[in-house]
Amino acid sequence: MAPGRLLRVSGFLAGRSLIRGNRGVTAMTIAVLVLIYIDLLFVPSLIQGAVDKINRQVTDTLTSSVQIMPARGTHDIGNVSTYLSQIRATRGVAAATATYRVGSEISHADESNVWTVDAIDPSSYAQVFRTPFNLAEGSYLAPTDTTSIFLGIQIAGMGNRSLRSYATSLKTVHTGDQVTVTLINGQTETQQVMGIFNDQFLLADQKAYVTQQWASQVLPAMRDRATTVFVKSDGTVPVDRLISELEPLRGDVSYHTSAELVGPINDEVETFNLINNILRAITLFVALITVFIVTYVDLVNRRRQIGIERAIGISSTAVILSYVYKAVVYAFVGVGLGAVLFLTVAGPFVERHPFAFPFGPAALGIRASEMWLDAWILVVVAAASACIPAWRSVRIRILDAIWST
Amino acid sequence: MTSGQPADREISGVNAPGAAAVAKLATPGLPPARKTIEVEGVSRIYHLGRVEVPGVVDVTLSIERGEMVCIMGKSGSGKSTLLRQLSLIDRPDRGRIFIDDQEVTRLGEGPRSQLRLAKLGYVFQEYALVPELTAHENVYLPGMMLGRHNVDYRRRATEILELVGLTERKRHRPRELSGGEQQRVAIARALINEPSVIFADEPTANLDSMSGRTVMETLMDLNRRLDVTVVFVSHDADDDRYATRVLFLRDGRLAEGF
Repeated sequence: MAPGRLLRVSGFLAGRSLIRGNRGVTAMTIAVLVLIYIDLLFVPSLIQGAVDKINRQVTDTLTSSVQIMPARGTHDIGNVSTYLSQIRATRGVAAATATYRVGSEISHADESNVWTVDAIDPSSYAQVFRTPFNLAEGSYLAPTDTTSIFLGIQIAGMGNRSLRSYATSLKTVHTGDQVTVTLINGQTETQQVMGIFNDQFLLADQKAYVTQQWASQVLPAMRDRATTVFVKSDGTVPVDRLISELEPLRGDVSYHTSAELVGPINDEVETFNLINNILRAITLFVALITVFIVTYVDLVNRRRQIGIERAIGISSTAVILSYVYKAVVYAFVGVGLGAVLFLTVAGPFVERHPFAFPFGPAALGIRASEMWLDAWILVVVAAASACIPAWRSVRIRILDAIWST
Repeated sequence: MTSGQPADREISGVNAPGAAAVAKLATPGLPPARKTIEVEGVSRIYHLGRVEVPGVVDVTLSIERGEMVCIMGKSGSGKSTLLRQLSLIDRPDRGRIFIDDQEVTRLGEGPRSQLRLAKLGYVFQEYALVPELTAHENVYLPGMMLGRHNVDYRRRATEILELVGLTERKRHRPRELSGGEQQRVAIARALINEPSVIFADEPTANLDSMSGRTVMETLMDLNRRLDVTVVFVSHDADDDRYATRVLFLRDGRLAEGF
């Protein structure tokens, strides 16, 4: 039997059955497959959205693209201004900034705790990180500020008991309040809160910043030095390539990507991926059972007709293929409608009403490659699950099939 | 046991419109083997639990090309069982069957299906059309499956529908046709691949007398005009008038005198 003829006959039978058969069954089957496809996409997209959010938060508020640290055995990086100029002139670099860890404890009234206080150049810092723009209250630092501090919301507390670290925060600090900073040399200084930022990311919101202008006055030894240099990629070259471009500039430092620096977050991502794979397997199993049942019921109702078709010479393969065709059409239509609904309804809705995570609100991270992969998996699963009952039905003797009205 | 002389009778029911279609369908070729079907000692036993029920027992016969054979007998005598063995829908437990000199008894399901498609036509008792296909589509489905080179099966289906007097009903689906019309569509479907033999299992059983007569006259007309062998089962004694030969079955055996 020529394959082309076989495909034509099975396609003909499937097409007529789809067009003229029970439209309610067709609509319901497609509706179920639409839901299954959306289900297949939704959780992975949400997890992808969360992972994207984590990565964005980490690079936008904590690590940037590349973090340069002093080599093992040294405390800081010297001659930073020249080094920064060289870095900024390197291909693939969008911006760079240096920070110096100056403080370790902040207190206000009876509240006190250990947090990181970094001295920054407010201008270049704002080119590398989003923190200066995520204001909860007040304003960002000006480069010449020598009396101000910029606090993370998890340090200030702001009287907001719903904050995750409220219990260990300064609890009631607002813009304009005075806080005491204990510097690394043990000296204490009082600073006025210029502004409070909310990165919606716990690790970032537990940091505080002062200007390098002020820090170099109280800690002259840190002048033109840095504990960390942050480099923001312009996205034109991969991070690994960017590091290899930077390495010749200086030998007494070490280079780190954001992925290396956020081990615990990577563990979260791995867990998300594991959950994602388990849910995907369950959803595909549901798809398999659904198409199997729909095909099986259809076949039971048509057993006599199939017997007659075989009796007049329609080959068993053509009969099986006609059911596989139908399942594939169901799957394609389900995938198509599901994709349209997902992209035009679910995606924009979650964008407007994002899910709250500890690292901030996350929308759906929709990837075309994932959508294609899930679509093909669903089509293959649908075809396979239609094939099984169809194959079983044509193994029945023709007479038994014809008599089974 | 021969009854009726259809070639000498006036044909009604299928008339003038079919004449042109017959002319188109008649395909000249080499003279085929005279014996279309040969059956040697065929038996078919059904097993109902531990009980063996003989369907047909040790039947031997031959049917020649162009014959119109009626298989008659009481209910349970094995008429339909014999027809199913001849038409390759069922397999005998013993004996051999030849169609156009080819032994078909031991063929696998694939070749049997191909033979049913290419050489045999089958008309069921209960119309047995695909409900989602129009009359025209039902007729050309086996033609599409066989896919003979250079044969436009759609056009041929139209011509056969004209032959059975259903040109006007070709776009109708089975539920929109009367029982007699559906049975004539089934006959047209059986003809699409120019079979050597058409088998019909009580084709008039579910029809009123007028429709039944039309269907039988259609079969008789096709037998006469296209020289196609027709083997049909009937329990109606009057149907012997359509046949060139009648086979009587009693308890699964051909009755004496055959």
